[in-house]
Amino acid sequence: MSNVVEINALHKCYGARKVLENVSLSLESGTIVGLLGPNGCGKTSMIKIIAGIIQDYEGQVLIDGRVPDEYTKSIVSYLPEKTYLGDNLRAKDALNFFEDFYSDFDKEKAKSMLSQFKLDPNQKIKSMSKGMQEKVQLILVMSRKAKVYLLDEPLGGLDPASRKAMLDIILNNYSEDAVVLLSTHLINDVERIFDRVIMVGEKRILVDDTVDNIREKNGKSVQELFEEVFKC
Amino acid sequence: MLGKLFKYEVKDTSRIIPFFYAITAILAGLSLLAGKLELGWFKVTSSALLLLVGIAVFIVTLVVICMRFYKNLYSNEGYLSFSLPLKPHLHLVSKAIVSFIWMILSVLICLGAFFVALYGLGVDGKVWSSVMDEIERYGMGNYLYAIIPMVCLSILYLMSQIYFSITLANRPRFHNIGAAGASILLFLATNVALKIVETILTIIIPFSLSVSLTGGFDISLTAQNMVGYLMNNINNQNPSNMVIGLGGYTFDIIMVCVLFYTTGRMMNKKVSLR
Repeated sequence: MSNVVEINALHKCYGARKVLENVSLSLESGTIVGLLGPNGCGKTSMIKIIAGIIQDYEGQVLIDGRVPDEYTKSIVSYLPEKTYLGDNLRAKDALNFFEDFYSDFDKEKAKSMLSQFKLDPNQKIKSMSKGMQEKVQLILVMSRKAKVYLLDEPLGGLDPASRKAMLDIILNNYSEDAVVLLSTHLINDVERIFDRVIMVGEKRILVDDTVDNIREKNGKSVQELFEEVFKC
Repeated sequence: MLGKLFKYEVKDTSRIIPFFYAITAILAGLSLLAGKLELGWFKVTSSALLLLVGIAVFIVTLVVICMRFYKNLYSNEGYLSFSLPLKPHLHLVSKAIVSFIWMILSVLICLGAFFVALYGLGVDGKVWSSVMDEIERYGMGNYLYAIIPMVCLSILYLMSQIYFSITLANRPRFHNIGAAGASILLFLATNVALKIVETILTIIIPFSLSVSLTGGFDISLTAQNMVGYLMNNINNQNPSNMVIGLGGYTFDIIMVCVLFYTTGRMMNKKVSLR
């Protein structure tokens, strides 16, 4: 297993407010990593930096050995916490868009997932519920054969049944040689799929360990450890 | 990739602008019909409406261009646009080309509406041909063609300022003000600052057109600046030549390049979506 993502001494601030200070980590291919932390701790910023959406940071970020650029964007499949599809697009237009711009996009796979989740390809994105929009976006992102999947709060607006379905989409569709970095607050729901968790708080990494180690060393679940680390 | 961006740009902007072209065409048809049928009140009303719609076409095009640029790059859609595997400045190139074409079309539609409306109000071909004769009499016929590059330059200048202002407004230091407010403020500041510099350079740069005001109509390039000509006018002396400074136009051309380049560079290196 090789390191697909390497971050060294990363600093990020918004004006005078620092959100990440001297953060270093590496992500190996073939793993699903949970990025956990309270609101405003810098999870989304870190994901945006890896995705190439934020460029004003200090430190070194390498994806497959390259700083974020058009090459890294071609191997990173990014799901933001917001709905990024145009209001006037239909689901099928979104599929065509992804097919046009991403050479690793599997349109047939996306179509079959749309029908599996009973989503109408002709329905406009703006007329879909928040949950349906999130499903369409996750289907698009997971239909790529990427090396890095960045999933920022993919379960936020979903009911429990849909959450399970979404996790199945992630588990069944990510490439085995890829790394999945998933940020969430809903630890109970996703704990089962993580190989490793990174807990971010106070501008730095507080916990970075495999799920097995956490259970063995602490005798606690990830949820319990999270509650202990971020106790108010 | 540029071709694909171009395709989606045309597709998205084509939803609104052609609709206004169609309304203009319908009103122009009504105006001409009213002229043929000699329906006085209808002729005046349809011509007046046509004039208003002609102006609206230009304004709508401008608004669509601004909104498309902001929405597609700096609202939620920006998360998709900036994560596409291409150099971010290609977004600027595709948007600038498509917007320029729409703006030129809208100017033509606006002019067409203007002429048809005037025709409906009684300004027919005879009036226009006598105006053209008058222009030709002064030997200025060929100079009318200079209007075309000047209109193109004005459109590019306006677009470059709009794109620059919106992109700058989305830098983190302006996040507190809000994207719309910051864009408008920055556009006004940029526009006013550039106008001041342009006016000063038009007057002081010794690169001008000299137009003879005595007898035959003679135009030539000269290394004079406008200061002497303006002073003569202020002192109520009658100058033999009118001097039109070209420094301002030169500045405009340079600034179009500078603003597009700076905008592209900010998109490539400084993007920070909130």
